Amino acid sequence: MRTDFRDAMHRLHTGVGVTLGGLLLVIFWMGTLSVFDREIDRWMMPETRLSAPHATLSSFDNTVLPHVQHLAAPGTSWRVSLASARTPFHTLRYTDADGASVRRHIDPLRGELLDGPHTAGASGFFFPFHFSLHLGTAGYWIAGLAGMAMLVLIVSGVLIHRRLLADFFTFRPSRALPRASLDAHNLTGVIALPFHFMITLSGLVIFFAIYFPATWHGAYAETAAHPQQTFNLEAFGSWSRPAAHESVGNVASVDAMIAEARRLWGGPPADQVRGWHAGDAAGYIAVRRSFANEVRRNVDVVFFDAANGERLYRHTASTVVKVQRFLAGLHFLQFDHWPLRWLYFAAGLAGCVMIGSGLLFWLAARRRQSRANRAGLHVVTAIAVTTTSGLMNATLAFLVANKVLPVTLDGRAGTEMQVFFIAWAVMFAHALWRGARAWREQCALVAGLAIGAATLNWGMTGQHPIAALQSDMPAIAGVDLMLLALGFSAAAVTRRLSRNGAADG
Amino acid sequence: MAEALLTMAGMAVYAGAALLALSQPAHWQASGGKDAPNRRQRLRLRSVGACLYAVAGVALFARDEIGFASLLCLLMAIAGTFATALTLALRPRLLTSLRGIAGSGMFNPSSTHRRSDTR
Repeated sequence: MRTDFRDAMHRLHTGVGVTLGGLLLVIFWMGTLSVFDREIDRWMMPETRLSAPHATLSSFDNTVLPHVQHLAAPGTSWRVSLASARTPFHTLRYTDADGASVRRHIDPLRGELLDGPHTAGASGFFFPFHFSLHLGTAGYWIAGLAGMAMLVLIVSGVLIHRRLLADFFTFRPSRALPRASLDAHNLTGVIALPFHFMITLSGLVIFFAIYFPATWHGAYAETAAHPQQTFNLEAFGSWSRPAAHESVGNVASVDAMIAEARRLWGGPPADQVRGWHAGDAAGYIAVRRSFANEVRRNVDVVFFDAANGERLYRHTASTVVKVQRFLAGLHFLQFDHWPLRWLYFAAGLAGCVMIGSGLLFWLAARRRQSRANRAGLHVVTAIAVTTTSGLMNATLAFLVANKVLPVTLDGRAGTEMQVFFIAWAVMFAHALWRGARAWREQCALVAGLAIGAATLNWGMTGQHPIAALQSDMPAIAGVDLMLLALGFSAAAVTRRLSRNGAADG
Repeated sequence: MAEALLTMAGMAVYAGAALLALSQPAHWQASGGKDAPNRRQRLRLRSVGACLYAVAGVALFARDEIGFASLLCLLMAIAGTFATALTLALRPRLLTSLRGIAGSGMFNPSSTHRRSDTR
């Protein structure tokens, strides 16, 4: 390969990596945590630690519908995610009389509303952080830009690798920092390259309608009065009808609707029931098919009239949409497959190591150059520290806050999120102040917070990992054990950094 | 049965990746071998390694439907390769016994020494 081309790719890889590496690490970290978002939810919401539900759920009409009719404001929409092996409770989302969006959990066996939730949990904080950075529409575009940059980094990284096959299995952790970090970067980058490419590309494909609106606009602009609505109906089954503004007293049996939908699908269970125009004569209910047993995130949905239970519309995806939904399913990981879930988690961590070690290598190499811009290096070091150990500390502060903030605190869920961002800002200030020494100090803090969070869970709920396993709560034991593993690993890293003073340069 | 197939696939990808790694001189030597594997030994290591990957693939496709099996193949290959790299980095001598699969290297003048070293 021509040297000047390789040099150009090297500059591209370095420039994009140093500029967007921190952002990519945040996105990868949040995505990796989201692999176990339901499990972390249960760790953060002790009231939801119920036993796994029976194979056949109790009657929706008896256990859920009364709460929907009582809580959802007239004319609004509501949604119930049905209990499953991973989430042994129903989740009801509705709009109350004050117009606020509310989330409640329901015991599927007894039909009782559970206390809380007093937190957004991982599914309400880590998961949206992964794709929107909690910045609304701007966040989607920033995450999309980062995804495109990731593809550029993957391709340019392969092109600049001079000894791709010769170094395929090479990792020398005992060597000096630049060599060891470059080995870690190459190893995780090359070995997990197919996963990184797949996960990045599928992430971009999920939001193709946002990033590339010409795809649907061009096809429907001239043939439909409302291009976007028509596209959403034909592609994703977003059927709707206007409200009649005329109230009705009764709702037809939702159990019968679920049974009819399952008959139409040939047996697979439903995973979500959704209603529009609550209490209105034109109200309707959609039953969505579960995607627990397939990679493809299907869009099979059947709509029923809420008042009389009559079938209104049935949607099944076209072939092209099925391809898109397969790619979306690869990324969303909503299927029930534990070996794959753990492998995704490990591969996500490998992605974090790849990005973090890339930043570390750049810093270590720069530090050796006598002509390097010291002020700029100091700032980049602070950013690298903040997006690696600082991000871990902010995440752990969020989990610790979940355990120590009083349940009666107003706006508790929002306060937990504020704790995350304040902790992250403090980590940045600390890194600016302490320079490269911040690596060691923040690693020590990670060890303390991780072990502290697991200990707090034990103290507040009485469930240490062994007790959780004995109570058939592997999710709780798993989160605790991961926290302990993180804590002891961080302690080992701190010890090594203290011993050789490598980070003090 | 599903767990047995998964375990078998995991062992196969690990051993397969280890054999591919041992066909490279640096890793061959790190695991206790002298010189480098000759052409015949390299061919045998790579053939058996590739066969073990194929065995893992068959086991995974027998275990799961095509969508899950494809993902498992991809991710278990990554995991097996990564585990091999970590073994070579931390405890390369653990792979000593696998060098026996390479055979004696009959056409290599130094094969006698290599054979005695590997046993």
